This record gives sequence, structure tokens and C-alpha cells, in this order.
Amino acid sequence: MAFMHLREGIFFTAVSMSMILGCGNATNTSEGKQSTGGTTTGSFASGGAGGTATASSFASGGTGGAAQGQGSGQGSGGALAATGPDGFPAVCVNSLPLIPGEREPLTFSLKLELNGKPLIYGENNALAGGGTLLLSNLRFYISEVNLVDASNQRVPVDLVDSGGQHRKPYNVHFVNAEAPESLGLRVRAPVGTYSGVEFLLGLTDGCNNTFSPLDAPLDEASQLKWPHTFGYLFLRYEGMVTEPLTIMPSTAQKVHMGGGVHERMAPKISVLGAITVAKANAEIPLKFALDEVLKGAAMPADLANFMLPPPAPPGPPGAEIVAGEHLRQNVPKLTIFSLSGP
Amino acid sequence: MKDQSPRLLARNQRVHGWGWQLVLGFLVFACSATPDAVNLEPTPNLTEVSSPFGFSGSLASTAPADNQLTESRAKLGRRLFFETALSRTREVSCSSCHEQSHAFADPRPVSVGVEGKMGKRNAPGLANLAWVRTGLFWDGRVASLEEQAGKPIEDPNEMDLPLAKAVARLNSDASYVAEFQAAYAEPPSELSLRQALASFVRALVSSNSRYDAFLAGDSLALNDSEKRGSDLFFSSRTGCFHCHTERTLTNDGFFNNGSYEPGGDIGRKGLTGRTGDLGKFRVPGLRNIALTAPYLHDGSLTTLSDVIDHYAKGGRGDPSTDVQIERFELSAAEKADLLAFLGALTDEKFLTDPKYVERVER
Repeated sequence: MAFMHLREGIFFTAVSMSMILGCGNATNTSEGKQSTGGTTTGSFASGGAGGTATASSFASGGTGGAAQGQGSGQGSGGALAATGPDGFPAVCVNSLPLIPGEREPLTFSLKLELNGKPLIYGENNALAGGGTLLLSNLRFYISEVNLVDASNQRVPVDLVDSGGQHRKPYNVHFVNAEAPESLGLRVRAPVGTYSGVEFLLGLTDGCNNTFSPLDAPLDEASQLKWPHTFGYLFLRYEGMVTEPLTIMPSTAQKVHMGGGVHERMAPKISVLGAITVAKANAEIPLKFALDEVLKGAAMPADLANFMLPPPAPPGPPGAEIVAGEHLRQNVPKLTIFSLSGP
Repeated sequence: MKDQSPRLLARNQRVHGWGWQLVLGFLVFACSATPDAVNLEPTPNLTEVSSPFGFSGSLASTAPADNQLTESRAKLGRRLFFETALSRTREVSCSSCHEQSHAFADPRPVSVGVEGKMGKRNAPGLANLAWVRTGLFWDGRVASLEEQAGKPIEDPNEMDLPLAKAVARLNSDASYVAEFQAAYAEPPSELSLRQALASFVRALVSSNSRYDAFLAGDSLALNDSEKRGSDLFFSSRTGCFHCHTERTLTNDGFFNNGSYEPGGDIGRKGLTGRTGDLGKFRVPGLRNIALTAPYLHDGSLTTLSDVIDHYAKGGRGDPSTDVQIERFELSAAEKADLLAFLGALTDEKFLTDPKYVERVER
């Protein structure tokens, strides 16, 4: 598993190459309007420059223009003109200013489900065909959130704290199934009616490849920090499945998605459904289907380029990482997230 | 960023340089002033220390707003840490179960309190607890160092003294009253007693192992065997890294590491009542792990070799064991490498640093 133990030399070469590639992508892709053709897709193109506070491409939307916060990652803040290979800011910035303009709070209330029924952390959850699944760990990142307006324009929104006045560090929301408070994903958005929401299930390439230690939620206590200098898991799941095992894939025990660099970027999620942002603080249920995660982890995937060249530590990659890569590649075919009525 | 590591290293070296000058000066002064080992001054600074490489935020930033870290508070906490008057029988102090030479862990399997009463868990090391955010004690039942500090004093199996009585004893000692006034602008109280102890424990920072130097950019800090051991530690083959992350060496979580056996300590389930928390305990940081034997929450494993064997066989076999605890095989040479790596986590300075030694400010 060579990617696990790359040290600085290789890492910085990779970063340099990614920066070059990133600049190329930024000039070659500028799809300001992006169709949202399904409940869940992974097909957004990298957005071009010129995102504004009212409507922009998916990729450029999250920045809201030039960032002025303190950079605790690869840079020292300032303008985020450079984009990474995924079309998002190449610099991982902790403290971002709120997007200017009049906005109102909106809370997506995550509902964890298993086969359409509530998924309870730390308890045995009944499986459709018999047996149980005991959820012991479920964590993931959500970042770069955009709403989609009636004309399919993407409207970048602030990810904010519970008080609603401060943007979340790194523009990232951290979900931990053990912490109920983390299931409320709060944003600030312009008043209006929207047809859906989009986000990354994970981190931008800029954050994923930051070498310097970052603050919460991108620190090691998230349990998503890849322990080999750089990189993060985007989603971590562990659970115990009782008999009959035949009704669940072997990947039902553990799935770790992410942990790679550059070529394995965070899946992009699009969820269709009516969303209204009004003066009052609205709350909208956002379902998360663990069964879809487990299904994706067992679907076919192309692992031809999964391994990186030596040097590598002894032993093969863990089954959970392989399962995670299967999931990552198959996210566009899955309906992990869905909106339900308020 | 690559050039940050040497800078960090240089900064650390400067800090250490000053530290030894202070120590030297302190020793010279001490010898000429008094032979009393517990009344030496000036004392080395407790709070101006660098965060270990990769830890998020400065030491000062880890303190709560109502108990900002100051020298007077940390030094008062140090005095209290060694104070046997905080136990009912005046025989037991915090330091009775947290010995500096063992990285402030207890070399006995379980804590022994007043009148020889036995606890049920091993007293863990205290290094770098300032950065823990998910709860303290093996089951995470308290949220802060301030909350934690009063529990052993009142525990019938440890110091067995109600905090109110402890405070009364402190208020009967004019020197304590003066120190509390200086640190908290009030006489001793239950709150300030806990806050002062927390301040000292917060100041217990270990950041000078050879592994720390390696993380900070000194590629020669580890020898070949230790580097091979590091590769094994961070490989999917052993899976150690799932819980013990690269920089802090703990993911701050609670996991069932295969040590639970039916009828045994239920761990975090005793706090949450959740089925899935059966046998879960805090993942400890591993700095100085070679000095904190015996191991696990109950001190049931005597050596690090035993610990490796425990994980290699996938734990003790209870179905509650975390799915990440899986059997693996190591050759004798590989096991030696892994042990060598764990030995490189030892911070000799932390084990002997005079600023952590019992003393009374004047």
C-alpha cells in the first residue's frame, strides 16, 4: 500500500504536479450551469472561475470569492485564485468570512437509516432478511455545499456553526453518528425556493492533501485523518453483523472511503427535492442510507490504478480501504442521500 | 511547508537549551540556599512549553476560559498533586498512583488507595492530556481535567476524602491560603482545588521522544529497526494505526480492543448503557509506552511483548471485540522491530524533568 507511506519527497512532487494540473483544469472547465439530472449523481464538472455569491459553478461556489482568513494549511490565506485538480480551492483555509449578502439559516437534519428504518448508533438494528447490524462507528465529512435554484444555477451557501454567525472551519461539516449534535448541518442561504442541494462527501483536494496539522474537525481526533503524513478518510464505517451473514456482503463490517491523494477525490453528491429558505429557521430532513453505502462497497470497481509505486510498508491494503474505494467509485450509482418532506 | 520542520526542530532545541540553563541555574542556587529538596526555588517554568509536533493548538489554548493556564495555578496544582492531606488517612496523594519515572502511570496493575483498598483499573499515564477532548478516565465519564481532578479525591477506593473536607484542610494551612489567593484571588474552594490540579496535569507535556524529532523532520532520529517497526505499526497488516494515529498516537476514541471477557469490566457501556459500548475503553496515547507497564485498562498484560501477542491473536475472543482487531502474524525479527519503534516513543526528559518534581513555592 505504497500510498500509505509516502514521505515528503514524493508528497511534494505530487503536490507540485497537482498544482500544475489544477491550473490546467481551472482554465479548461467553466461550466457555470450544471444540470442536475438525478437524485444522486457524481458527474459535476469542475467549475470555472468567476463564482459569485448568488450563482456559480459547483466547484467555485464554496469560496465566495477571495478568502481573507488565516490559512493554517498549505498557505497563509489570501486570495484563493488557484484551484486544485478537483476545481476547488487549492488552499485549505480555516477561517473564512461569511458570504456577503442577506441570508437566512436553514438546517438539514440528517436522518440515519438502514433499509428505510431509523439507524440507531450503538444498538442492534434489524436487517430485512433477519439478523442484526450493530453500528459501532460512522463518521464522514460534508463540504462545499451549494443549493440549486429553479434555473439549475448553483448558489453557494455558508456552512455555519450552531449560532449561525460563524462559518465552520475549512468550510467543512463533520458528522459523527455517536454525537447527535453533529447530525444538524446548518447553512445560511438567500431566501428563495430551490430544487436541490449539492455537496462533496468528503474534502476538497486542497484540504485532503495538506501536510501541516490542521485544527478540528480536520485533526486526528476526527478518526478520519490518514496516519501517513497526509490524506483523510472521507467516510469511516464499522459495524458488526450477526447471522445470517449471507444477506449482507462481507463489507458490512467495515468500510473506509478515501485516504488517497489526488486521483481519488471526494464523490460529489446531488440531491433533488424542494427546499425553501424563508425568514424563519427552516429544518429539512436529509436521509442517509447506510444500506446504500454497504451496497456500493460491494459493487464492482476498477482497482487497476489503486496502488501507488513503492516504497510501501509491508503487507497488502486493508479490506476496509479496498471496500472504501469500491464505494467511492460507485457513489454516482447510489442514492445515499435523499430529501424528504419537512 | 517542508522547511517548517527544521524550523520547528530548531525552535524546540532553543527551548530545550533555555530549559537546561534554567535547570543548571536552579541547581546552583538550590545548593547554596537550602538542602531541603521540597523547598527549592526558583523553579523551572511549567507552562511555557511547545506543543508536540502535530498537536492542534498551543498548550495555553487547551485551557478553558474560566481556568486560563498560569504559572501560579500550575505550580499550586503541582503542590496539590503531591499532597497526602487530600486523602482521608493523609497517606495517599495523586502521585501515589502517577509516578513520574513511569510517565505518571502506575506500575501496579490497579490503583491502591487508602488502607490498601484496590481499584479495578490501571492508573494511566498523564502526558499530553491537555489535548484530549472526548472525555477522561478509561470510560470517558468526565468531560474535562477540571471535572476529573476531584474524582480520585472522593473515590472510596482511592483517597476517600469529601472535597469539602479537603478544602477545609487546605484552608487551615496559611501557605495554601496564600497560594490560592495568588492563583485564584480567593481562599481554597472545591472549584479552585480542582482547577489547580487540572492546571498542573494540563502542563504535563511530553514532546521530546526520538519519534517526535522524527516527525519534526529529523530522518536520522530513528534507526533502521525502529523505522521498520514504524512501517509495521502504520500498516494495514497490524492495523495499529486505526486507533493510534501518526502524531498524537491516539484517535481520542473508545474501542473494544479484545480485552473484554464475559463478566468483566463493561467499560463505556457502564456510562452510556449502549449495547455497542460493551468493553470499550479510551485509546491511550503511546508516548512513553515502554515505561507505563502493565498495560490495558486493567493492567492485565505485563509487557509490550504481551500486548503485541494480544493483538496478534485478535484479542481474547469475545464477539464484542471491534471488527478492526484482527489476527496477524509477525516474525521474531518483525516483532523486535515493532518493539524497537515503541521504545522510540520514550521521552527521557519527561521522565526526569525537575519541573515536575514535588516542591513548595515561597
